[in-house]
Amino acid sequence: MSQLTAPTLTSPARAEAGFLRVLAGQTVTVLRKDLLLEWRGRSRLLSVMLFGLVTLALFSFAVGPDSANLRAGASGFLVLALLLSSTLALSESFRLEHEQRAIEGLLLLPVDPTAIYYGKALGNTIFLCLLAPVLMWVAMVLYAVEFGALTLVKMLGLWVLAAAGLSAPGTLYAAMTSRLRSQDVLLPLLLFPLVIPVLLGSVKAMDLVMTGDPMSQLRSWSLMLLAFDVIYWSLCGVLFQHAIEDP
Amino acid sequence: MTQRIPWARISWEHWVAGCGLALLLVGTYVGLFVAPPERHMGDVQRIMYVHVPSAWNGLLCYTGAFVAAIVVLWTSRPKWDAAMVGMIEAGVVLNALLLVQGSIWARATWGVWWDWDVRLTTSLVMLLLFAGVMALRSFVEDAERRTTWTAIATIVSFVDVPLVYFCVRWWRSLHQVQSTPETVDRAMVLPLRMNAVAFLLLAIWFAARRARLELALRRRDEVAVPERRELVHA
Amino acid sequence: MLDAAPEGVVAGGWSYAIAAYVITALGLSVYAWSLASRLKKANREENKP
Repeated sequence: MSQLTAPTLTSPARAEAGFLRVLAGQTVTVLRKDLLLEWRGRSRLLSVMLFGLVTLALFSFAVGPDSANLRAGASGFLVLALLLSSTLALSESFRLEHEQRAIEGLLLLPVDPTAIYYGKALGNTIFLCLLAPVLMWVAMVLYAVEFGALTLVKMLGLWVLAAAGLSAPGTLYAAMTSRLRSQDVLLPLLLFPLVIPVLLGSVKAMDLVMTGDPMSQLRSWSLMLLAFDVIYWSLCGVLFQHAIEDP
Repeated sequence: MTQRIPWARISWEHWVAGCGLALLLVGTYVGLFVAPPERHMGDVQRIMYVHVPSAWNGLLCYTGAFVAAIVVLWTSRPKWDAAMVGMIEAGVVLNALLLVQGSIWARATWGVWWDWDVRLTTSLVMLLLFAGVMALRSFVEDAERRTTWTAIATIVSFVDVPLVYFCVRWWRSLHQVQSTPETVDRAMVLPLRMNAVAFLLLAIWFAARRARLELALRRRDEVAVPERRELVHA
Repeated sequence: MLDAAPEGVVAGGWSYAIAAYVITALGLSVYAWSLASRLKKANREENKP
């Protein structure tokens, strides 16, 4: 009898691998559905982009035309514009589900709630990353900052980390608050204090990228952002099923 | 016939509060009048005897709420929900007091009402986080969902606290500003410990009373006539 | 040789300390009173729905 028999279908490792594959498949399905809806309703992306631009302009007016001040605060303004735009993006991502009670249909299907979470969170992250090129370009112009090619790549990397950090708890809270009357107030109220590490980390990191990093601190800030992302993508994935199940 | 005090019917938490109050009075007296003034800061340092106990116990309340939240997600029992709410609210009260005391300290020692001191800043963020959890709670009408969502928000917020702390510390270290002194003289340990225990006992009373309130509100909502509820929430 | 330190670098600290204690006492009392009255009201409503 050969000892190289194939593992049985009921072996735990195989079952777990199978489950992960199913989860990944469902996640991709949810993501594709959301991206397709986004593509069909492109005006929403454009509106949020425009809102981000308006925010960037408002900072210029608030801080004054002194270009030194603007350049010093450029990373802060950029990240704040991302943060403010994210509340619009996140709240919309679940509002669609409650129109015509689509979410109940979604829950009736044999889709794991975790897959719904990761699909939606990835969709939100992608949405926020799409804002990057436009907002960064406008910030360069308004705040008189120069980006080289390498700087741009680093900035985009940090933007992805920040967007992921906002999307993880944001998707969870958006799912909860979308069922409540005062969603517009509650989502920012809950999210903004929570993502202060993302705000601090990305502002400091982007500032170092734009103005120079004599003490090589960029690595620590990037790792901190990454740590936040890993912690919250895991934690919120676990908690999401409790957030959307019906009592 | 003299009126008999129904000793047996007095809730346990009132006894705890009584001890706490007595201890607080003694500890405050010692802290204000007996303990020596600090070498550099003088009498201002006496604020520490309420500031540090508020900080320790506020954080303890939030930790208790975090543990209760995990249990709530597991079992969803009303008593654990009530305990969780009690501890969050007690924590928020202590947190708010902590910020006021810290502000007074900052004014006395640095001349400004606010300094971006690491612990003070982290306390501010904690207050915003957990006050937000209470705000979320007030908007959810269904009791089961309210329990679950409060627990989720509590867990998410509590996990954030160490992240905020480290982040703000790195952020501050770039500016090289000194933080509040850490070392405590031996003569100051006694009032500090007394007040720390006193605040703990009072916090237990607050949490227990708030938990009882939560259970009473839950029972009241359960027996409410449905039509009346619809009128209210339409 | 350090001679006996005077009140300290910070002067007028006493009033700040007292202020902190008074505000703390007020805060704790107000919250305690608020809890007691809310609980009394809830118990009353429970007994007469």
